[in-house]
Amino acid sequence: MSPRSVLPQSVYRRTDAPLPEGLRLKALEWALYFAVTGRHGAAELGRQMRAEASESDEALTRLMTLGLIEEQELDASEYVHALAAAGSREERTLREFLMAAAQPAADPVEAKEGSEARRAQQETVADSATTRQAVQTLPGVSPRPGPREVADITLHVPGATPRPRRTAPPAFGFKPLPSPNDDNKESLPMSVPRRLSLRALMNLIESQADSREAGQLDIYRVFVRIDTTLLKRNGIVTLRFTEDRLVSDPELEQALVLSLKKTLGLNCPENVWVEVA
Amino acid sequence: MNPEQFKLFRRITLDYFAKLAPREEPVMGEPHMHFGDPELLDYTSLIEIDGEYQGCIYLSSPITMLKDVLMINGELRDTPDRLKDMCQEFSNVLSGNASKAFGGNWRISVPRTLTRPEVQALDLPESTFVMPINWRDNQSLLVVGLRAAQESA
Repeated sequence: MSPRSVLPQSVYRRTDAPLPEGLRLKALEWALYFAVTGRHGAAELGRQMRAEASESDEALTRLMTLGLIEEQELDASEYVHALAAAGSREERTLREFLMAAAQPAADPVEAKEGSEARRAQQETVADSATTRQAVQTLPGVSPRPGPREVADITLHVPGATPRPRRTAPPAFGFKPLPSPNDDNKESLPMSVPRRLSLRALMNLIESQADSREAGQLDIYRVFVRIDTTLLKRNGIVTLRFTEDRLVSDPELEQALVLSLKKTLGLNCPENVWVEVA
Repeated sequence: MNPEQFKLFRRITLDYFAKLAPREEPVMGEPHMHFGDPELLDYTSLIEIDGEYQGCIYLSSPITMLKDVLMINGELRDTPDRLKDMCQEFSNVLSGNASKAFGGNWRISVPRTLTRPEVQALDLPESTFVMPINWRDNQSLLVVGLRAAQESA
C-alpha cells in the first residue's frame, strides 16, 4: 500500500471495522485511534498528544493502513475551519493568544511559529509565491494581497516601502480539545447524593423569627406556596415542625428554595442539604 | 396574619375551653402542617377569611367533646340537632375571637356549622396549620388554612 500523506488539516474518523484480534499498537497509535472522532484535524490531535508532527503523521498513516481509521471528507466550510485549527503547534495561554493577535508584524510570538505552522499554510504560501511572481511579471496588475502576502513582500522585495504588517485574524478550531491536564469524567470521584433536610430548613426559618410561634407561622407560609401534589408525591401529608424529612425530588427542592426566597427573602444555605451515604 | 394576631387568636380560643371547666385546663398539642384533604372530625365550626391571604379558620370537634360541653351547659340530650347547636356556639366563639385577633386587616365571613360531609364538599385550602386542643380526654383541631395570594386569584 502506498504511503498516504497526512496534512495537518486532515480530519479522520474511526472506521466501522472491528478491531482485529490480537491487535497491538503503540501508545500514540491507540491514543490517536480513540481520539479521532471526525471533528479534529491531524495537527490538533498531534498537539493534544504532545507528539512531534512526524510521529503523529506516522501513527495516523499506520492506523489508516490497518483500516482502523479513514479520512473524513469535508465541505468547503469544514475544510477552512480545519485549516484554521491546524495552526501553530506552540501551546499558548488565551492571554498569549490574544496578545499575539494584537501584536504588530515583528511579534516574536509569530516569529516563533515553526515549520508546522508553515506547513499548515504551505499550499497558501506556495500559491502566493507563485502569485507574487506573476504579479511582478504582469505590469498593471495589482491584485489585493492577503495578509501573508503583504508580509512576504515586505520581507523579500528589496527597496519596497515597508508597510504595516497585518496579522491574520485568530483562527478557531472546530471545538477546543480539553487540556491534557483536565480531569475527565471517569477520573472524577462519584458525587455524593444530597438531600434537602426539611428539619434544617425549618430550623433556618425559626432562627430568623422572633419567637417559636412566629417561626412556625413563617414555615407554614413557606409551605403554603408549595403545590400539595408535589408534597404528597414525596409522601409528605403531615409534617410536624420538629420532624425531619429528606427531600430527594429536585422539583420539590426547587419549589421550597423558591418559596423561601419569595416568602421570607431568604436564600437556602448549603447546610440545608445533607449528604446521604 | 402576623404572629401576634396568631398567638392572640390561639390563646383566646384556649381560654374558651378553660372557662368551660376551670379545673380541667385545655392543653395545646404539638402543631403540625397538613397537606391535601383537610383533617376533619365530626362537626366543624368554620369561618372564611380574606386579607393578605385567602382562606379559612375552623375548629373541628368530635361528638364526644360536644356532648361534654352540652353536659357542662346542663343539656343532657345529645341529638344531632343539639350537637349542631353546640357546634354553632363554637362557631360564634371562633368568629368573635378571629374578629378580636385579626382586627381590620381581614374580612371575616359569617360563621358556619358543618358536618364532615358538608365540609368535604367545600373547596378548602389544601395546606393547613393544625393545632390540636386536648381537653377532657377529647381532642379538637383548630385549623388555619391559607392560600397564597397568587393561587387565590
